[in-house]
Amino acid sequence: MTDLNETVEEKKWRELAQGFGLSADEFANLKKCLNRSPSLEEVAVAGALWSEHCSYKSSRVHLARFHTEEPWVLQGPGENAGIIEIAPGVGLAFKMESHNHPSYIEPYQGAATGVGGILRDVFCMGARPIANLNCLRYGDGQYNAHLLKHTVRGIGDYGNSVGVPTVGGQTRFHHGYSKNILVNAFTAGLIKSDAIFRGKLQNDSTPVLAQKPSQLIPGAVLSDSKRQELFPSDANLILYFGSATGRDGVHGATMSSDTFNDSSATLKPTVQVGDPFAEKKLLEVTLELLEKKLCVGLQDMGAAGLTSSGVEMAGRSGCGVALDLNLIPVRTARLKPFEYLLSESQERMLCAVTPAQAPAVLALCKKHQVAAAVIGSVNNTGEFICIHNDTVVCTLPVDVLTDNAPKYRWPLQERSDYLKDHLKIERPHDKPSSVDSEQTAHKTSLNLTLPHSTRTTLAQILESNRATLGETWKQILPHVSSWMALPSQSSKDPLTRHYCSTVQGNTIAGCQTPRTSAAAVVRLDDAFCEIGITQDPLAQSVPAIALVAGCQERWIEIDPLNGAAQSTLLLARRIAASGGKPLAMTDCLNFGSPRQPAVMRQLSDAIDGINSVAKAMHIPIVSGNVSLNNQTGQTPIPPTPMVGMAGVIEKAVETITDIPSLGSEVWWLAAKNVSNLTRFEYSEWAWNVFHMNAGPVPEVDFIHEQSLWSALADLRQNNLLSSCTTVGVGGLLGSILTLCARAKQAFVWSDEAAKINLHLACAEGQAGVIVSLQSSSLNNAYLLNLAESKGLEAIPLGKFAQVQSQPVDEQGHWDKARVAFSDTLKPFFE
Amino acid sequence: MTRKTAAILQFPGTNCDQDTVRWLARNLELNVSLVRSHEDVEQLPPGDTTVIVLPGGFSFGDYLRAGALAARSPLMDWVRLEAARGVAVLGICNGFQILCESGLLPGALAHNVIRQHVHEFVTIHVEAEVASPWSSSTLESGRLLNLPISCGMGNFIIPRKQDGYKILFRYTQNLLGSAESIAGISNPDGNIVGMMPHPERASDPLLGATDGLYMLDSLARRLGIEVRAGSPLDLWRKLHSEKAS
Repeated sequence: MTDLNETVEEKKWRELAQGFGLSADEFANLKKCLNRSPSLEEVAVAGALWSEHCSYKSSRVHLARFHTEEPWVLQGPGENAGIIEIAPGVGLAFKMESHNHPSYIEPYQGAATGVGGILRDVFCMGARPIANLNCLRYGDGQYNAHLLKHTVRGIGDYGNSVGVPTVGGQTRFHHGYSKNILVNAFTAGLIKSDAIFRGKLQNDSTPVLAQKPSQLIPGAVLSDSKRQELFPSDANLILYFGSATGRDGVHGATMSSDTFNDSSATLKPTVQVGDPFAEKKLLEVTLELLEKKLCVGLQDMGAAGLTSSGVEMAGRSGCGVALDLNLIPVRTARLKPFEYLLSESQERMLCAVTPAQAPAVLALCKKHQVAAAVIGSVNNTGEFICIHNDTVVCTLPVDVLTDNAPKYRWPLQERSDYLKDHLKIERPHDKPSSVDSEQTAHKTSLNLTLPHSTRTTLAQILESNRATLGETWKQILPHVSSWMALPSQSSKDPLTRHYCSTVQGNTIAGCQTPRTSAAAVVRLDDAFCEIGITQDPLAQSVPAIALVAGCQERWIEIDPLNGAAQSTLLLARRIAASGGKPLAMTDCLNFGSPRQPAVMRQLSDAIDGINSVAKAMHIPIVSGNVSLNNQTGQTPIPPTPMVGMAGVIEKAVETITDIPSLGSEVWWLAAKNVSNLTRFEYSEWAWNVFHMNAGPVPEVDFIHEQSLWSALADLRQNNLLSSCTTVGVGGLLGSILTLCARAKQAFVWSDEAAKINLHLACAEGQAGVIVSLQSSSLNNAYLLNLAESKGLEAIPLGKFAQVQSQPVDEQGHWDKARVAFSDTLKPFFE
Repeated sequence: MTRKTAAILQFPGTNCDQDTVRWLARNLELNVSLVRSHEDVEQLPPGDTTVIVLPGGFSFGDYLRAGALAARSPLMDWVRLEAARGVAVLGICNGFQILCESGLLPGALAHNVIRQHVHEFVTIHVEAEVASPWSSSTLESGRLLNLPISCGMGNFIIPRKQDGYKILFRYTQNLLGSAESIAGISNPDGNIVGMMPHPERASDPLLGATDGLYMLDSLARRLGIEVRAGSPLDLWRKLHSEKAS
């Protein structure tokens, strides 16, 4: 890229631009667009807005393929959050965002501000946040143990203090995240569908004036007449409210868009610091402001702070903006102009108000003890103009920053080549010292490996693909506790007890709640109900919202297309199992560097995989976020397109629990050809026992899936369904063992279950659901008939039983498994 | 019959106000008002307030110490006057911390011994059946209550003066490290009660927990407040009287 004819001055600027995240080409492009040399501040602004984080420059061409429309979508991608209609006149706004890079550097604040940012994305549209979820990925070793503890604390402390229940999510462990953990935060909020606010500067009725460039260049001193032009007295005002601006987070967006190297420790000062009390006040003032319709448009200051919110709002309204940086409330002296522009100080909002509204907004902020100031005006220059000490420091045309943002079509590896390269994925080896030290391994360090003896025994059992569950069960049982002690399999209660899941008083099923379900379930808040508790004290008619989030990265690494489809469908199935109907999703696409063709193949195919589910099952994608460059050196993370999904349960009282009651008959309800839709080779068992996953991942069978859902709906409508949960990670066997550990019960397999092929019992994929019915032999006959008529198979699996009722030699194994399940992650939080 | 008034205090950072309003309004024939400032107090019918609840949350962001700033707000002067008049005052979680910080209840709440925020359903034992309008339900089955705790500073430190309070609730498992496993106390008269667990979050059959209704049942009996027909409390009472008979 270096030009031999480059002058010293040019070299200095090129390097400076690089420091702000602009490549040499992008810098040249900026110069060309402006037809002059940019100022330092302009380089900073362009660098932030053209960063991967703000511009989606590497993913945009692929994101455009997403299925985004269905009749219930009120707001699709492009705004701060997507919104769907969840009940007549009531919208649900939701979005998921990553905070991976900051959380790796400073886990507590990184994770906390991740929660803060996503909350603001939701409430700045006018929605009251009702639920948080989070998807976390960690690797092994001591540092990851430290990250686990402090990210969880950060998430809990922030959400708890703001008063939004954290109700669910997914936490997994995999070597591939050891140097790049993932912290993805999801928030959903309720909004009256006629009160949605968008980030714009003008009312829709305001005529768009012809643009008249300011003709100013940086360095010019502002004359009084020019000031009049830039800050017209009758124009809408730009009003800043929230916490004061400091140096924290300067460069956050560019840091988040880069890969890590050995010197990442020096990035610590770019991580923002959160204050949940400021957020709570901001939440209340924002919602009151929107309810009273006191502003024209509003946007939170997230990544790239003032710059991105100012430019994005101007871009949406086709006008210009002038800001006087000296008017911004500050918490530190002598801020440089580019620091004002790039600061990612938390808990700040930018809104556009009419001159008449401004005094009322300022008064409202004062009432809530929130700092506020008018810092600029809307104008018709079409430019993003910043003034500092009466001197112009930035006059960038808004369309240069938004529409002309770079778009990259990075080369993709051929799909067939990718699949060939990933036919077998081997797990990295652990250091020998950590392999068999069952007793001490977890005290200080995350160990993701089964003890050697367990691996050897299970490998012998699983080698043959002809053994049945019945033949091998007695050999497997003694090793169940080792399986349960794997961090991914073990109980996440030691994490979730940090999260207040019951605040707001609407959580029907979440973490640490008396009831549980395959999805997190939150009742529609009374304030949004047509028939409130005044008429209906028991809230019998109130609907509920079912929420799930997660991803199966091991499947996706083998085959991004089918793997992502299977993974997304599993989430949708969890909503169906809870008694709900999936309505829409949001995504958070975590991948490695787009400069690697294999990573781009993962990204592109994962988008298509998610999209196939969106189209077939009518679950549109309404918002999303992309996090690239999650890699250290040349090794990217496993492809992790996290999906958050929302559905509705028509009557909250009809929520289905996931744990079968003691003694009730438990059934496996799945496709007749379930062995074709699932595979042992890429299961969690193969991964942990053979240290290997292998393809191929079968294509999704949507027709079967629809039959399964309609069978569940039939059982529900006839009041026969007593519990329902999906067959998830670890296949049928893994799912039953987890249910046992959670219910503190043993399981007695039926004769039919004993005949199930062991590989099939461990297989993952489109593997159906585990149900139990209100007990009666008539109901069993009904289920068998129903399954037959839908092309499904219902196999009686057996019963949950008290551990004490089991043979004496087995009781100890069950007890040990339960303790391993509940206690494995506890020491990491002591 | 004229309806009595319950005032729910809301400080900046309080976040259980809406659940608490709903808890009372849904179950009892009461006028329930949110009170944020002295202006709000003046809107209340004079002398009509019979119940004051300080809900949970993070008033003033737990700055300084949990409850320390709210305790010194002018609104607490009004609470002090009303409490002296015999009004039934309940502080839940952060409300308990505020009551201790303001001196309305003795003792203090320190960081949990496990040094982390804990959200979990716990079992508490009702100690003094007659002491308080908040814990004198006549129903025998109300002795053990399953309620959620959610706090970082729930470790009750016992006051030096032993006669300034009565123990109302004790944890059956002392997770937070409270002195004498204390989960809630009252003043000697019994009308001011502070507790760490959240009864308002365990008062709905749909949410799988109803033991918080015990406290409302008690309040209704002691203050002669009517129970709303068809409400969770109404159902709860019927269920428990069936069990008793």
